Amino acid sequence: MIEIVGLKKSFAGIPVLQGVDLAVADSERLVIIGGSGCGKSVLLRHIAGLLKPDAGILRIDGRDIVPLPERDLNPIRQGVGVLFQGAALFDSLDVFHNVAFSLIEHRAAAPKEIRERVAEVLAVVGMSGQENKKPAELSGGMRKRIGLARAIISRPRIMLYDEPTTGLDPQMADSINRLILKLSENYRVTSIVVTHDMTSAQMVGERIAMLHQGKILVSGTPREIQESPQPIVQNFIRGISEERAAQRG
Amino acid sequence: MERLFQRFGAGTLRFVDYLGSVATLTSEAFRSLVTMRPRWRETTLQVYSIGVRSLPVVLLTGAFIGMVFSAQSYFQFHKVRMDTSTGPAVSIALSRELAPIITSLMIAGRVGAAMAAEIGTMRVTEQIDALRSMAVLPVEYLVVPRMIAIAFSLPLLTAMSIAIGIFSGYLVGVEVLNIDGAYYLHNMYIYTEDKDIYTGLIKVFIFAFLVVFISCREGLHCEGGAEGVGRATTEAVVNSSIAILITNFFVTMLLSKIIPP
Repeated sequence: MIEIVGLKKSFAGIPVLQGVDLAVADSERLVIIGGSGCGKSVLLRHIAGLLKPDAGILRIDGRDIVPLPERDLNPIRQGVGVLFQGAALFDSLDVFHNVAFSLIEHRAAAPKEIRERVAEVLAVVGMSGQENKKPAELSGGMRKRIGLARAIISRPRIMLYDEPTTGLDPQMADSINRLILKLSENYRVTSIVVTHDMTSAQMVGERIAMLHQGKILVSGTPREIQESPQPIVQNFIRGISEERAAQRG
Repeated sequence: MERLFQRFGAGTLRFVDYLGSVATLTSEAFRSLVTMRPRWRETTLQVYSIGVRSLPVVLLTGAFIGMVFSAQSYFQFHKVRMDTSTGPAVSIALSRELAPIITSLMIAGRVGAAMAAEIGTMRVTEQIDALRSMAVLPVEYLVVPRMIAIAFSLPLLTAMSIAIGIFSGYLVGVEVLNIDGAYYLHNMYIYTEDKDIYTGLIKVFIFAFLVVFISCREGLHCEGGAEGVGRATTEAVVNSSIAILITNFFVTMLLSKIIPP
């Protein structure tokens, strides 16, 4: 269970999050949508414990992580997997060592088991046999898949996806969306997906929340969001710019 | 006038903030050194990168500094017919000042820049965040192995620089400028003491920490894509070099009290 109450964050005096209230149930798939620069990724990074808010409460399984120092966050982080927007693979390591990184670092398994688990997660993301490649040799979609394999190898209870389909062609985006669904259903992980891709949001979201001007404007099932009477929501999901909306009156 | 004070105040605050961030990184690194498990693989790779790969440039600069200092010393000593004093002048100057400073500045340029660029690139491509998200502290994974490697490598590189500098100084003095070789070596042995070598090596041990913490700090605080990485790299080299030169004066004065020359 993730609970966010009154979360605020500013950068150089510019407010980005202005009191976000949100709750995510165990095993739920929540998609957070919103325009570029509205603070979706900032919110996700707070949940991952990568940013400290200026104010507010962020509880994971009942424990407020906001006051925790960096070292004390580590046990919580081990239960959270993150797929970064650019995959954030380590350039100096090959695919095997990227994927096995957390297991090796935390000595969480014997070498034989690590090899088996790497092979298992690479099979899950459809990247079997790519262990010896370097990140520079991979396409954008392949990097995302490897990033996903790296995130799930430690069997997290919470998965955070930052713009998982951005920069991918529609087929690869569909493939990533299916992976997110598969992981959620097979491993019963709590999934939070940040995206501005409405196709992706409709496909993977059990619930969609829209972030606007630093607050959650609306939250509901994909159908409820689709039928929302709020003009801001309708303009966003139909891709109508603010200028065009103003012209329409 | 008011604006002048504001600028001075803002600059002072930035400087104090900078010192604070370097001090915080230093304390985190030493704390991690005690609490973390040893990372032999990363440390060995860094020893290779910092120590072994810096060897050619350090030996080259050491040799030419020794040669030019030998020639310059000879030109001055020759005026007062003290040619054979060139030997001790070269060996003491190289051991106490020239080799430690030149080697440290070369390492700040070559290794400090590489550290800032590598860590800075990791920072702007979210690799540092990826480390943190996997419950790995960047200080433990990135800074501590570099700290151990440079603290181990820099004194060794300096010792090699001193040795080749003295040897090349001898070649120039004796073979090119015709100083009597026996007296050159005799005077050098008499006037060069162990403490001349120690003080130089103690100084570079301190400079090693300046280079690693300033450079890693620049990388870890890097922002703004490729431009930010470039800025961090430049700042790392400039700030490390300035810190080495300033610290050198104070450490020299302090060591002169502890180990009188």
